[in-house]
Amino acid sequence: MQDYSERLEYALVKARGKENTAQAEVFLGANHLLTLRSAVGKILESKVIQDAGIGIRILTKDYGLGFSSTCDLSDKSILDAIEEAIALSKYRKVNTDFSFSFPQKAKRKCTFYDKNLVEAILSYDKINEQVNQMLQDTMDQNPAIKEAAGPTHLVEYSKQIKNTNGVDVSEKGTYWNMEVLAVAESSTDRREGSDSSAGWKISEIDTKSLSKHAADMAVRSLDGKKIEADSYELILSAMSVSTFIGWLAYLTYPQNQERNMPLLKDKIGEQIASTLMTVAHDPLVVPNPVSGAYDDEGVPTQDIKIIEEGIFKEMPLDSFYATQFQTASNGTGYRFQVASGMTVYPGQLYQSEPLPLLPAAYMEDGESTVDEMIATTKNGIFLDFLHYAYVTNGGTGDYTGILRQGSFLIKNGEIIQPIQKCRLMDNILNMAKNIEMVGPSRMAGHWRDMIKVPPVKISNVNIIPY
Amino acid sequence: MEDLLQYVLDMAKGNEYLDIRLEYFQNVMIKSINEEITKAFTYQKKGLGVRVLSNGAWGFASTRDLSKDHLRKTVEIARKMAQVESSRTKTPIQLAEIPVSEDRVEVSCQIDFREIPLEEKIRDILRWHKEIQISDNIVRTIVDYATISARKFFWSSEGTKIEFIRPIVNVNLGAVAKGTSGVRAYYQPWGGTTPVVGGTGGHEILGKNGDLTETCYNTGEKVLKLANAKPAPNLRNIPIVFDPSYMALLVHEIVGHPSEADRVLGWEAAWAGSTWWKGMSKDEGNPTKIGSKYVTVYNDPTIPKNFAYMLYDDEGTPCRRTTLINEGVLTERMHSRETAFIMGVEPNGAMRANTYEYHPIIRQINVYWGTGDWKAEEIIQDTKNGVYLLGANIPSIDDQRFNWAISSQEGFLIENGELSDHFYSCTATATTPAFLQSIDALAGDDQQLFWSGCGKGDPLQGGTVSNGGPTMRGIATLKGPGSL
Repeated sequence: MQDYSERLEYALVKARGKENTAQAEVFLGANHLLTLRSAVGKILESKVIQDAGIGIRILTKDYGLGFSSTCDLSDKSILDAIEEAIALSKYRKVNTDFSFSFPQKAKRKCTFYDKNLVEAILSYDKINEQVNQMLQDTMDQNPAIKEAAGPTHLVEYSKQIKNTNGVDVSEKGTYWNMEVLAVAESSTDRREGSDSSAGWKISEIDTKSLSKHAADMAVRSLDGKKIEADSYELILSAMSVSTFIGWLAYLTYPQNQERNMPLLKDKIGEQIASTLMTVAHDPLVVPNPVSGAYDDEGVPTQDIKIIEEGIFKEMPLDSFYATQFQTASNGTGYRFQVASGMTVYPGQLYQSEPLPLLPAAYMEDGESTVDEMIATTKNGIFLDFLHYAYVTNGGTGDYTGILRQGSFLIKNGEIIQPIQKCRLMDNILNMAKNIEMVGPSRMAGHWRDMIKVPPVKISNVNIIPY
Repeated sequence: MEDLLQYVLDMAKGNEYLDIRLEYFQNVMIKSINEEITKAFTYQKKGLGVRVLSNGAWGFASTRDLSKDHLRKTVEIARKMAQVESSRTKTPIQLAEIPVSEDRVEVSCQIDFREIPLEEKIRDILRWHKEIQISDNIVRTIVDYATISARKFFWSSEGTKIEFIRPIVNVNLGAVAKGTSGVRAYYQPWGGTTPVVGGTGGHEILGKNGDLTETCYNTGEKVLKLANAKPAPNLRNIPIVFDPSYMALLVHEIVGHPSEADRVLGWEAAWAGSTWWKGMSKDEGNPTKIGSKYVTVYNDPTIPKNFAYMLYDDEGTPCRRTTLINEGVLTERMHSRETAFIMGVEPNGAMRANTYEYHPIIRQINVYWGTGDWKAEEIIQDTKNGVYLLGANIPSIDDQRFNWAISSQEGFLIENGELSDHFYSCTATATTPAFLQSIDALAGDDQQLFWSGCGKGDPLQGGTVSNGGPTMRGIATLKGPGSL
């Protein structure tokens, strides 16, 4: 990836040189992303995004804070961005104790960089062959499999952060993610199975196990029974837990709490989940397109317990929100939220200001196995893939989603048959409180929402058929 | 600029098809809470995306580096991917024909936000806060203001040359209040005819010629009432009347997405899903009745002022109004040139990429419900026992769009044709085929379009879309905070 250090230094020198500048910060993000999107048994789209740009924050002597960014790294465009940031700073005043970060040496080092993955992006042929093989392997698992699909992403990312307090951080990484979907058909039914995985080394990609799991799940799910609306014991696979934890994490963000998701506002210190639930954040435990030893403000990342044994312990805080709460940033300032009119893709988004986010959340392991969860279930459901599960009311925690793939009825400790798709309609905090068993964790989820989570068993979950 | 476009176009080899999108953006976003600016930023992007169709396979690459050397490399990346895939594919891609177009489309503004000083915009934002704050029980007022200035060139090796210049503005007005039901939030729907809080154009499309006073007051009033509302009850299979802003998200999710031809063909199966009505449309040779006579739905990107207004899509296909469902019968799908060829129909201009960085995908643009023969107030009066839902909030939809659940910002009980109890935390859910058949009343006097927001594709692309409809009644289940 091209070296833009000189451009970053130029931006910092020019921003610092402005008359009213008290502090300046420059952030450079660069990405090289390859996506192969496949469906109906073939690769439909092969695409590459190459991007780089600079985001500039200026804190003025009268405590104004402005931000602007550009992907045009010419002198003129950088100078224009500095002027834009200064213009905006006149209207956004911050607390007098706000500051950009100061140099702190990370005690840990990020090693999530694989030259072979970069080579795979550049050469393309090998990964194309691997994805085609994955599609074929999925089809070959069973005669009932009629379709195979799934996106594969490889990304090389880098970031550099400099500010006038002396922060000078440079990191790079690689990341891959692969998802497989298998569709099985019988004479009367059509069902899906899927699996996904992620990592940072190209050699970690194991298409065969993904294909096998997806195909097995699709075939086993065929000809399911319609269930009755009831309150069930629900065993969620790691893949289903990823979306559940993703939403819990979302509710802990201070920027969401002050807007339309106030459910956990002022709840620090309260028991909000089962004592079996500990949710943490650590980009060096969970490979992610933003993983690094530093966050996007140059603050060292750390292992933060967000929910510890069910107690809401800490929310993510970047330097801006930390000042609001009269504390220090906990190294969770990231820049990849959706911005107006633009979208996200993995890697560093220079066009966004930092916000407190938990892109690399994980839930700690428990001591139970899925077999033990099933054996202790009287009237329950095992679910492999919870689809489109959202908190539909951020004040009450209403939570609903679809039991889409790999759902099986359990009676008296045994899986007795597959079930048709149905809808979960419950409350996210009630579900968190009703977690009874936790298993061993693994990377699971969709795309950049891949996190490290275990399977869990939850009691009294409302499920309705359709 | 034309030199640069021609330089890239000249790299097409032999029978290759090549198209280019060169785009510039300048975006401004100001977020504020309680008269304090909490975020203020601008960003500029410019770059180019190139698609190459070589021997029946696509390759796509995008870059921000517009140097000729880098553009040459970018085309080579796209070509290489196409060639590698074409050596393995068994079904070469073919494109339906479209007319060659040369056009320049510029959306004009009467009150051009690009010429309004920042200071004046900030003054308006702070005033809107004051206008929402109509009571001490309102604990937070929220005003977000955003503009996009975009300029795009689309050129193809077939000779199409299009330039599109469009300004977009939107204002997000919200409030949080405390009352007998606790702390509740309310956000003004984006779009609509009363009030309008955004779309393609200048400040003249906001409220009454740029004046949002009434809308701000309405926001304050709404949140205060909601803070004193009751939790919604659980009511199975009851008549529910949906207001136009709820209709926006409903039509987006249960008609818009499943009418996208890529979804119909199973190309979105891996994550988003497919559609329950595959093979049941006129485009697929099998026009099937799936709803009552009140189910007529269109996609029309050419309606001025809406968020997703456009006259050509990102393949250069002229956009037109498409009838997706006509009086309950499935007719057309939304197409790319590729899916149109597969189904043997004419492309209708539904391919879009969020920016130059992304491969274009088929996506709904302005999908809206047609009008009926009722008046909105008559539908309420005609409902003996039911619920009225206003303002769609958050959806959760089955992967085949066979079942849906969408929460609303507020609801009212209807008793003997009159609104009574006011509810918060309302979620309606139904199975789509049964719901579409159950629709028995549709207004003809209050059709409106709003911004629904949309995400689709891998990597995920956001998108400006408009959706809406008139007031409508159908059978669904209402879910409140308690167990069903």
